[in-house]
Amino acid sequence: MGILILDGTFGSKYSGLLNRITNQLDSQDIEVIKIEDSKVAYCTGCWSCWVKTPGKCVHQDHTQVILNKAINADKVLLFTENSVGYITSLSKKVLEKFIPLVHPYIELVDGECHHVKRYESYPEMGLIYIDDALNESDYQNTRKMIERAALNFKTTLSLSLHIKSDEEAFSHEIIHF
Amino acid sequence: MKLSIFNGSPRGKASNSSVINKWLTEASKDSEHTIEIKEELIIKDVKKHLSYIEEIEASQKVIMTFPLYADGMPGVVMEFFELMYAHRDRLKNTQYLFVIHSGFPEAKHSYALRDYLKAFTHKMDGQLFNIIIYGGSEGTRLAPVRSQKKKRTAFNDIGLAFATNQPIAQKDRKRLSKPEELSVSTQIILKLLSKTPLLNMYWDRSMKDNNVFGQSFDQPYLNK
Repeated sequence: MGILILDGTFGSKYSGLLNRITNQLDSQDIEVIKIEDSKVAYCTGCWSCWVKTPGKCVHQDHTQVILNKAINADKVLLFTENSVGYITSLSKKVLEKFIPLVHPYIELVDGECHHVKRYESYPEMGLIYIDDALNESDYQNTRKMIERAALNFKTTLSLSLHIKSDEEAFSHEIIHF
Repeated sequence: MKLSIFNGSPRGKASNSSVINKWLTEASKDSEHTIEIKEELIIKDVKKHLSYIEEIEASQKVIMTFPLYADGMPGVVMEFFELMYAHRDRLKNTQYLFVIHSGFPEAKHSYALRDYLKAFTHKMDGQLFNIIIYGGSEGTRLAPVRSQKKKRTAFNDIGLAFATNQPIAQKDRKRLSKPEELSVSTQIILKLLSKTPLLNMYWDRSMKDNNVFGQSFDQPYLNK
């Protein structure tokens, strides 16, 4: 599968922007999951996915679909609005449900402790950060946190964009993501 | 003076956050200062979030303790932050002490979240007392009391300093945050340990207890 877009925005006010983006992406294979419309329980830190059902979240909700689509995608794009200087709680809820995709074992990566891979390959990550105020500090704090999450999920944040909701002209990097 | 204490762990009361909160408040409860400390408030109880806003509004000081989750605060804590921000006019000038704890030993993993919490406090028109990073926390609730005496004392001191408007001792902050990064010698030891079953012994034992050790590296979400 090509690109999985995890739409973590609240309501429908950014659906026009999302449509403009998906219409311009090179990839023909795009799937959008609106998190707000999906049933996804918060991670409870039970660690069943590590020690009872290796690699599988115990929540029998849309977590199962999202993890299946995410690990089989080439790229996963977080589409989120600026929410109190970070991503929305909807986006964060799904991001932390990626934990079953890595193994609990610890290894050193560039001198830091990180989890070990469970899969051979992982989708590249992208971030589209919608922010009509274009608050640079909020964006940089968020980008740093998502870069760290990508590192812990054995991948890289290969696209990070800070845009307004009325953006019409998209850069080369997003069109070819 | 009223102090509210929040536990942001998705595990609720059965969590390392709860133990840390107990350590943060026990010295204040025993002191001669007049400090009203209510029972720990559990952020994963989403239905109580609106009542928690009232608790913060009635408090001068707030402690929030939570684990690092996928390099940020737990999602349910972010949901509560969104509600707090919506009510920020009622919550101005509150003083915050945040504790971020993580299973990873080095504090570095929590730096980005620390930067965010500074910005969050500013957005709330609050006052930041401090942000404590505590690495290697996973065994806190299970480890023998005696082995954790120094860390417990450091949290006692920090909690009392917060409650009584005193600066925290840097030695306490450093004791909990070290190592900031892994030293070269620690890296060498970890590399050597990684060639033995010792480094990941806890995980192996847990999987064996559940009869799933043979499926340890299963890839259940991969399309065949």
